[in-house]
Amino acid sequence: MPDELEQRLRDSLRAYADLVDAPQSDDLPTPSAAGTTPRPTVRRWRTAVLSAAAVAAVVSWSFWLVTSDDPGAESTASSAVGAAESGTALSEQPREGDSAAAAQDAAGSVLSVPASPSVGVAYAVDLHTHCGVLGLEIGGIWFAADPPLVEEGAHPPPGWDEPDQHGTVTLMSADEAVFTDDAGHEVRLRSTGEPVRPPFCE
Amino acid sequence: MLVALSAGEVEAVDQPVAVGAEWDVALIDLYRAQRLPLLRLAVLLTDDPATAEDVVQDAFVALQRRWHAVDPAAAAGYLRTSVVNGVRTLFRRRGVARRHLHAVGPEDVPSADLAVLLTEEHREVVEALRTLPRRQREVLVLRYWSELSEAEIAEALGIARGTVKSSAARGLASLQKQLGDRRAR
Repeated sequence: MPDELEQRLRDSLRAYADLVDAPQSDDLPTPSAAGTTPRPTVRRWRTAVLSAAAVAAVVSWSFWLVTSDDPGAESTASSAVGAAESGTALSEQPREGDSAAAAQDAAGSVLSVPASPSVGVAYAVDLHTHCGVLGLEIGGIWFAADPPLVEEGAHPPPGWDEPDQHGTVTLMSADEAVFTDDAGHEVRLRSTGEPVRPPFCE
Repeated sequence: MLVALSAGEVEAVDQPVAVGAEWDVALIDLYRAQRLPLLRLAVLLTDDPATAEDVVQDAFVALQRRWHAVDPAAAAGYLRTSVVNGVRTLFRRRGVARRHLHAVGPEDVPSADLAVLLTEEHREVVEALRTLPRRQREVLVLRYWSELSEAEIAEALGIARGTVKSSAARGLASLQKQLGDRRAR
């Protein structure tokens, strides 16, 4: 009976899958062109990101002018703004100083984002996952995972390394970033506008 | 935990990748070969062709972004894992949105149900499959449609082989019971 069930499951899955026809469009997906493909029920967050980068950057910059007492943080925000406003989102290479800054800690085990990250550049990073996937500090600003990925007991979901997951983070605009890794995870991160991270779980 | 930075260890940092970098021939070939199977896999996991298309496209965009660091021989597996994770992330995000926003967004409206086109025998199986916990369904789809081994499923889902085995057994037992109950009615 189990063999019969397995065969029936195989046949039904095949029949169901065969109902999916080959897509008519053969366009290659890109972050900027994805909105042109037939994906009607999903928000196209990426398509608007780069064109809105300058607007978001101005808002962030204004926020920091008004609220920040920390000249270092203000400088960081301004540098991210500069990258977005100058339209360097897709092709800019990291500045030499940034590359030098993006390095390991004294223990040689944890990578973090340089102090002045550029938009559109993937930086190697170790995302801290000990309490779940909560977010990442980028350029002195806390970017919160959207949504946070936290399993019961304050752990990351299955498939995530703990306490850190190695991958890359790419700043898509002054207030949005994406973390990806070789395991296929992809986490969207949104700026909280503050250099404050959530308290640790322990 | 993020820590203070020190200079001088630049070698440890990945090469930067422009998001809008050109696709090379191998990646285009992979896209053409894998797009439909991945789309079908995503439909088997989501029941929604439009969502499936979105997840698959996101997987390819993520792969393009990481193409410099991915072994081409392992790229198909990377994409498969990316699709499964993409589906999970999507469902989780919708769950969070429902809990916090108490509203149904346009992305929550399913496409027309493809399963209505199936014969009754197959439709019964698909409907029973939909009632399973997400992990059991993922395991059964990867085992009986993708024809992956336990080890490959464990790697794709990021879970232990024992969990694959127990999820498959529970899923099959549940299907057996449901299909038996339907037949008895």
